[in-house]
Amino acid sequence: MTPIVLDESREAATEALPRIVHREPLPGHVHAVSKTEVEELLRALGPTAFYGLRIVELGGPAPARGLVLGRFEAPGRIRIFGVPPPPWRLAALTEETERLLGAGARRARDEHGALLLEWPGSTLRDFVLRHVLLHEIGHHLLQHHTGKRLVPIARTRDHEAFAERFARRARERLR
Amino acid sequence: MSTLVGDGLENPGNASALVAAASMFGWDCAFLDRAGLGLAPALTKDELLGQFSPLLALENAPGADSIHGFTFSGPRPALLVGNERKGIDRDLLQRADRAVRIPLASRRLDTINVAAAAAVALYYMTRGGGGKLRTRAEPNRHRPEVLFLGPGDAIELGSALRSAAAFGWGRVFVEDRSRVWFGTDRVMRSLGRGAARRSRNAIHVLPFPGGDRPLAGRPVFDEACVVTRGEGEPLHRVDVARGPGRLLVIADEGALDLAREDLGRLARDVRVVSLDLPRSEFPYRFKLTASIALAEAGRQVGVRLRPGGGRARPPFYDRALPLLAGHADALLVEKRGVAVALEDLPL
Repeated sequence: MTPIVLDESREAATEALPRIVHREPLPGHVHAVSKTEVEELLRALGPTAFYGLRIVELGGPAPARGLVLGRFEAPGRIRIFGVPPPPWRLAALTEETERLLGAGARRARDEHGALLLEWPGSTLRDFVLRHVLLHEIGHHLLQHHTGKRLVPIARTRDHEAFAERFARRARERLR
Repeated sequence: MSTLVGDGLENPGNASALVAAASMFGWDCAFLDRAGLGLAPALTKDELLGQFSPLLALENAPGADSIHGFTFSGPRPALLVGNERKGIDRDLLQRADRAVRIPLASRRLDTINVAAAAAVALYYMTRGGGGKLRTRAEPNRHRPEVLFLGPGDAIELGSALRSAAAFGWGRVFVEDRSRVWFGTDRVMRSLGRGAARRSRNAIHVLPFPGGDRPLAGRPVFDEACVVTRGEGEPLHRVDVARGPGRLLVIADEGALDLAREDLGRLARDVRVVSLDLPRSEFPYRFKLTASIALAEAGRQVGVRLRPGGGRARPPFYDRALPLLAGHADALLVEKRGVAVALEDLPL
């Protein structure tokens, strides 16, 4: 009996990376990651992580509230926004910000006593790739693998928890 | 003769701006001078009620008609605007023939500067009301970015920022070559922030590279619509509600010469659009032209459809640094013991 094999073109399509688009960041902002770095991360994760993902956009205008780093928009669109060039000056860190920035960032004080958040070496790039992008891919997986419906398929709190769990596991696997 | 009437204004600066607003549209201006500021020409309440018809009150009162699509007729119309804090006198408001309001998109900021409001109202009234306010499922996807180019006065800029927030913008760029907003002295800072109602106005004000810090590489925006009081395509016939890839540029033509500006650095395509005002010569005030441009752009952007009346928005999830409680800005710095917003830092 002849074994059933996937059509070659279809198999290739499942492994095709999503389109990665490089847009200009807002004035005064910079890209933390490049197209190549995003491609490398996606290839390292494998096709099961990005199946159904249509586009990854780098840059473009961020929503005008807070410092938004990334966004997942159903169906299959991830946006990684530009960031202000480091160091970031902050009045204080909220608990959530502290937890979010736990990896990589170094805290310091400037001559006026302001809190400076420094990103030495490649820490900002790693943070955006391994925390922000992986988190958004987690959102994509949950949304996509439950029927591709254009309605929220979990409570926001559960969605965030799933995305965070996926990002943590993926980081451990990629280590 | 059509007349704009200020009722009980407290600030002489607003009175002079009101004269400028009337002059832009060829209207007369008069005052009910309740505060004894010596504003001229002065009217009494009886003269106002006896000489003008129809008497139109600009007030966000219950039952007031939207300024969009508003038309009126009468031999000698008067548009009445009220005190900066209290609005129009209650008795006058009740005796006015009709009340009109300017629809605002902000929930936190429900008023704009009195002269700016008068200019916006006259803009629509003199053009026969203009088009209706649009309704959309997701108006903010159509909202262009706004750049205030070279403002020369902190108070004028502050009032323009107040209008921008009231008409629904959450973020504007300022090319601050006169240093009236960023890194300015304490007095100028207080004047500007006060005019912007910064305590309630959470708009993000971002410095736009330019002037002595030219944009590196190619322009960020696809298209820029530069608003001028001079010649150009009429603003109301140009679709400016084309999303955040488009830039609405409002220049302070009292502080810079638009003809000498290199506008090509702002966007790949640049269109010059005109406010299409009935008069070409008038005392120029930046906050008036800026508010008119923002009002018309805001009308084109529109407001959200009634809940349940439109297409559902697909879900999205943001990864963001949360705002610090009690502050409007995401990034703040404690500088010499004073909380300073990111926008105030020399970036």
